[in-house]
Amino acid sequence: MEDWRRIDIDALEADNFLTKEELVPSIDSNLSLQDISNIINECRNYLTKGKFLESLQLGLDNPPYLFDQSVKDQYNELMFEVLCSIKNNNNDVSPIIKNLSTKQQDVLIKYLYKIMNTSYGSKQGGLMLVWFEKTIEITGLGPIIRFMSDRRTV
Amino acid sequence: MSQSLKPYLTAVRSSLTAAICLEDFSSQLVERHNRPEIEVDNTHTPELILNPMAIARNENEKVLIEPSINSVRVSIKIKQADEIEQILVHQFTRFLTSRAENFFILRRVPIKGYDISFLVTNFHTEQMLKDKLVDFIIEFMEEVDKEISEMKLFLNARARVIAEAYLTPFD
Repeated sequence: MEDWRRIDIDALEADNFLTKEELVPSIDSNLSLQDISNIINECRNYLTKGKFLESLQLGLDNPPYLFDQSVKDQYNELMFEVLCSIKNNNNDVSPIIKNLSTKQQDVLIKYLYKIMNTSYGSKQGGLMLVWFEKTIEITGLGPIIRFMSDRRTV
Repeated sequence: MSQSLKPYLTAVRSSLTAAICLEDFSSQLVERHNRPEIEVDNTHTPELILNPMAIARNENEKVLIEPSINSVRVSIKIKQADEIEQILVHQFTRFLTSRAENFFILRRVPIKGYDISFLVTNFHTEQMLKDKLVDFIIEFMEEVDKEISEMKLFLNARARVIAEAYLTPFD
């Protein structure tokens, strides 16, 4: 007979527990994979034209919450490029952050944490930390708390 | 304080302040147990764990903050530029972790990929002031770099003296 002491009886009564998937709130977004790649191209276009704020806003307005990790990774790299080139072209990023809406600032913090967790992001840690410091100066701790508790990850 | 250290410490400080917001919470799975939820298996209770925060100054200096409802785990990767520093950091953290009960919030074993871990639970925040706890961790991060580079200088100076002493007969 199989080792019944090791049977995970809690798993059999599924109703008692939440799964990771159930925690994610329903998101009403009708972005398709095509839309995401369009947005990525559009953002890069804005960057080459020097429209930094537009590029950042577009990127922050449409985070791919519903897609799998490979799409999210691609998007993270895009955000990394956007943030790097904005910092390299502008000495002070505070005015740009001030122009973002509260929602966009929240998503910005999400991406900063996410990017610092990657290998390419940690190489540019100093740069990301400048963004982080300036954002927190303007917004306070709110976005950090919302980042911790938000199940819609980037 | 160097240019890039300040934003690093500010980021850690604000993240910690936000994360250390804990309450007493009994286990949902085991009757009459009260355990740090970040340390136990959470396949059935994923709602108790919050999103982990990673703060990196460069590849060699990182902090990982993993918050949950009644505990926060803070892991620090200390800068190690060469082999001497690796040995020094290893010895230093071993010295501290073997005396973990005197430090209250120190975790005996660091989590993988990091040099030293702290575990702050709601019982610590009930006994101690939250701001002081945050200050302690920030101060530790500031001091440890200084300490390690000081030890390295001392080690090199000592090695030089010893080499000179050994080689005097051939002078």
